[in-house]
Order: sequence, then C-alpha cells, then structure tokens
Amino acid sequence: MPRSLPKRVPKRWGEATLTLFTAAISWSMLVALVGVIGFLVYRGGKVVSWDFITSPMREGMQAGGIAIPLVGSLWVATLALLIGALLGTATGAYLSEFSSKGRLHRLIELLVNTLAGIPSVVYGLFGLALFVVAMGLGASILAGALTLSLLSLPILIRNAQEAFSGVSQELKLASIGMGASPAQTFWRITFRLAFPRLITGYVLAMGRLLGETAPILFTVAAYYLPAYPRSPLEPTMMLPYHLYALITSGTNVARTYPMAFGTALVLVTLTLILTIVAAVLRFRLKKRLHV
Amino acid sequence: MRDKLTIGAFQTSALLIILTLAGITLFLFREGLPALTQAPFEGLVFAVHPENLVQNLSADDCRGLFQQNLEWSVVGGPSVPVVPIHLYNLERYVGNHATPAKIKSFLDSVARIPGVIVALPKEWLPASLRPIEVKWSAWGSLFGAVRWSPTYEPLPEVGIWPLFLGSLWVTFLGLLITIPFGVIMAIYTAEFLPKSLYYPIKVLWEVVAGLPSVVVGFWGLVVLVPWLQKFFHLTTGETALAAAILLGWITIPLMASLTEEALSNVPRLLVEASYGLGATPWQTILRVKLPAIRASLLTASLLSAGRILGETMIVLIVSGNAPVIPTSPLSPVRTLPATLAAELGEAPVGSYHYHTLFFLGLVLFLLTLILNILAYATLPSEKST
Repeated sequence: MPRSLPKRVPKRWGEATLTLFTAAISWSMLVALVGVIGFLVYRGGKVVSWDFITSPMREGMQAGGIAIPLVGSLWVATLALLIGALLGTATGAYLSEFSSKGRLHRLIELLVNTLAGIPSVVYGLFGLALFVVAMGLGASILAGALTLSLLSLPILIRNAQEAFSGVSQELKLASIGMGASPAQTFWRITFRLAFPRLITGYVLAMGRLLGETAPILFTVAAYYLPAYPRSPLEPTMMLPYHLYALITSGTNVARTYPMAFGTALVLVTLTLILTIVAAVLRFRLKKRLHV
Repeated sequence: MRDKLTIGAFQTSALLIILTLAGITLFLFREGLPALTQAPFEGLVFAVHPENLVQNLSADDCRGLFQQNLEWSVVGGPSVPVVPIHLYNLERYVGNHATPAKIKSFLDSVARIPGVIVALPKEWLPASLRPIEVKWSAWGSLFGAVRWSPTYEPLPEVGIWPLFLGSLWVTFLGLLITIPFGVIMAIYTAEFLPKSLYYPIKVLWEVVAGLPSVVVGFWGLVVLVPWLQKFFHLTTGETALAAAILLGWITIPLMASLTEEALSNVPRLLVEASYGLGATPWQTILRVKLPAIRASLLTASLLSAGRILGETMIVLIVSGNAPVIPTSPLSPVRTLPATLAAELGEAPVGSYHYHTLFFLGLVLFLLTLILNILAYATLPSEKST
C-alpha cells in the first residue's frame, strides 16, 4: 500500500491515548487467536501423535486415529481444487487478458462477486439438488468435490485475475510486438510469469476448502464409515464433519472430547499452515512486483 | 487456430460462471417453491365417524384435534371426546403380520368410535368412515405461524419467523462487534501501524478469517459457552450472544480490510487540506477521513452482514438451536443456515420437509443476494481516484 503522507506523531495526550487504544484493540486480535489455538494445542497436544494421524478409528469413534477422515478430506479437497483451479484460472485469464472489457465482462465480474457472497450452506443445497439427486451421483466424493469447486471459484478467479494482470504490461506488449499471437503471449509470457502467484492462490483455496463443513454435509460426508474411499463415487468421512460428529454424538463425552480436540488441532494446523504459507508467499511476491 | 482454441476455452469457462449462478437460482426455486403449492399430507385423507357433521377443518384445528388440545364441540362437531388415530404410514405395516383383510376389519372397528379422527392413505379409506376436507394454507403455514416443528406428522408446523428473526438477531448482534472492531483496526493499520508490521497484520487477518468454522464453534462450546453461563448465571450458555461473539470475531478481518482499503484511498488533497488547517491526526481521521469513506463503510458493513448471515456451523454448535423468537441476547436462537444443516440430512428427498428446507435456503439466498446488491450499489466510484 502506498502511503501518501509522512506519519505524524500525535502531540496531545488525548490523541496518544486514542492511538494506544486502537493499537490495543488491533493486537487483541492476535491475543484472541493465540488464545484459541493455544487452547487447542494444550488440550489436543496430548492426543495428537503420529499414531493418531495414521491409524483408523476404533470402538465407534472413541479410540484410534483420524486417518480415514483425513484421507477423505484430502481426496475431496484435492479433487475440488483441480476442478476449481482449471475453471477459475481460465475464467481469470479471460477476464484479465482476453475479454473486451465490455458488458459481458462487467456482468461476469458482478456474478463472481455475487457468488462470493452466497453462503456456503446454499452451495450445499445446490450440490445436493444438482449433483447428488438430479445427476444421480449420490452422496459421493465427486459430488462433494464439484460442490466445493464451485465454492472456491470466486477466490480462484480473483486470484488468477490479479496474477495475470500483475505481469508487466511492457513484457506482454513486447511479445506482441515481436509477432507473437495473443495465445503465444499468454502461454509463454503471462502464464509463466504469473505461475508463482497462481500457486499461491491454489494453496490459499486448499486451506479454505479443507475447513469447509456446510457444503459437504449433504453431498459427501458420512457420519461413520470406517473404510478408506476406493472410488470417487463413494461417500467418505471428512475431518470437519468428523469433528462435528465427535462434538455432538455425546454418548461418552469423556472419551470423544479428547478425540475431538485432537481432530480440531490437526484440522486447524493444516489450514493454518496452508493459509500462512499462501499469505507470506503472496505478500513476498507483491513486494517483488511492486519494486 | 491455437489462438481460437485458447480464447474459446477461456470464454467458455467464463460463461460457466453465468450458468452456475443461473443453476443455483433455478434449483433453489425448483426445489423450494413446491413448499408454497404442496400440502404436507398429499396422498393422505382425513376421516371421521359417519355421524360427525364436521365438513372441513383448518390445518390448525386439525392439528389441535390430533394433539388433543381442542374439543370437537369447538369446531362444530359432537360433544364426544376426541380420539386421534395416526395411520399415515399404514402401508409400512402391510405384509408383516397384518394382512389387508385384517387391516380392513381394524379400520371398520376404528370407524365405530364416535369421536375418532383418522389420517390414512387415500386408497385405504373404508366406506365406514367419512372423509373430511382439511384446508392447508401454504402461505399461512409458512408466514402466519410462529412455531417450527417440521417433523410433526401428518400436520407439520413450518412457521419460518423464529428462524428468520433468529438469523436477523444473530446478524445484528454480530455486527455490533464486527463494525466497531473492524473500523478501529482499519484506522490503526492505515494510520499508525509501523510499515514493517503491515504484512504481518494482514497475515493475522487472513488466518482469523480462514479458521475452520467448526473449530471456532467447538472452541466456543468448550470455553466461551461455560464462561457466559457463569458470568450471566444462566441455565445454559448456548445463546445468541455466544454465536454473535464468535461470528463477529471471524468477520472482523473482512470489515477491517475493506475499511483499510477505503481509508488509504482517501484523496490526498482532503488530508493535506486538513493538516494544513492545523488539524491533528485524530481530528483528521474523525472529521475528514471517516466522513469521506461513509459509503465504503456502508458497503463493508453490508458485506459483513452477508457473511455473518450465512455462517452455519458456529451457530449450529453454540446457539442452543431452539426455534423460538429471540427476545434478548441471552436467549437461545436458531438461524436459517443452522436449520438447513441440522435437518436436511434427515429429510427424505422430495418430501414436504425437503421442499420447506429448500424454501428456507431460497429465502437465505435472496437475503444475501439483496445485501450484496445493496453493497455494490452503494459502492462509490472512489476506487478510480
């Protein structure tokens, strides 16, 4: 962000107090985050071990590990990301590089914004009505992945748009000037230079997708299904829903809550790593491109 | 050739976006609108003793009779005690021990009870019972009632007001947290934050916004809910307030980043003029900058409202889920999305309950759509300056 004016240090007492107050409020966000994650680490840390992550559950959901929902989540999120990345990047490329910036362009941008504002549970309803029921896929990995891919489209489209338009105009023009066609310019120059930022967007989207619960409730997630998924047409357990099941099943809280804390810790660690990696990469790249 | 292929593929993909939104709209209407045209008891018939003179009943009266808190005499019938008999899933019993002949004779004996009212599949109606008409008003049931118990058969109660008002209440309370905190954080970040901390704080915001909502809800359930219970001496801490605090918290980053963007886009001229007149930094912020970004603040608030309105898992876990019209921040609530998440898994595809839930989804979709349209309509063109 360019800052137009030099910073001014407040002179009066009242002003200094106000500034201090805003600073305290702002950093309380960090305190709250550390509080939440610290609590999960404190309670879940005792449970999480290599064994917890790699072994399937036993005795209903009261013992063992979370390997099955973890694998299920990774399956669905990866498949969703593949579909979403393909469509999102292509749409982003169209909006940023190839559209005539006319009425259609504005319409699509408006729709992307609208899609971003639709609650995730509504995507779940749509996925249920279209993929599960109308297309007959049943509750399956494929149906869930398709639903989640639609959900991830707005993030991926915006990211692709930013990535492609972030590539210096001079390079694109130079390529055109040397006789390259628009498609050649896109594939050889724009796409290659935008690639790191595209990847960043995919990582960020993956983090979001892994944590989504509402859209998978009706389209893929099984409450209890102690087997690894073998084909994309099968339902599977998934981490967020598994956590929800552990919280609410409530038959033996003394045994399910430790499992829930472990699951929550794994889930939050996964999304945290992906979000931070993506964010750090993005801001690094932004700096590099602006300088 | 390759040019055409590339561009054609990209254009097709972009057109898919239009299809997606059209598809979402279409399917929500297709599955949701039957709630306005169908009755929940299609295929069923209600019948009474032949000497009972009641011709037709409203759905509410009929439900009252089935729940035995209404007398026949009130609706113009004989002064005999009401004997409700639920046989709406009669078919399920056929074949096991019950032969059709046995069921026939059972129904005939039912028909001899003077105060009887039976709900049974049309094809099983015996000549000894007299069918009556039950009037189901779809609009009245959805918008005229204040109770939500959609699984009560054969006459569910599907008043959406408790859910609708629950959603609005949680959103309102959540905004009370999101807006002030978001604006304060935006001011701090845009005006006072050392430059070296700018990216770290942005990462912090992204992390908070990206926390899986089910994890936040779980934390709320084990930490926040007991705190609230102790602090306010409640029987349960699962309240609208608990949901609003958590929802407000995870929405702050959205509010803050939109406001921060607007603040750093305030025209330089205005700020310089303010400083030139001798205003202090805070005077400039409060009297010049914030008024200058009024429209953006409204946009940011509307988008935040949309985000809170649509959040599902947190509310489902910590708000108590009681479908009653909320009267205070400490009453339990149930929102539209939480109802969908809780009930759609159990509703058989194509049933009245299923269509009603899609109708709720449609209401939620239209609400967020309106919020978004308002948000972008109020968005000023200051971005270009």
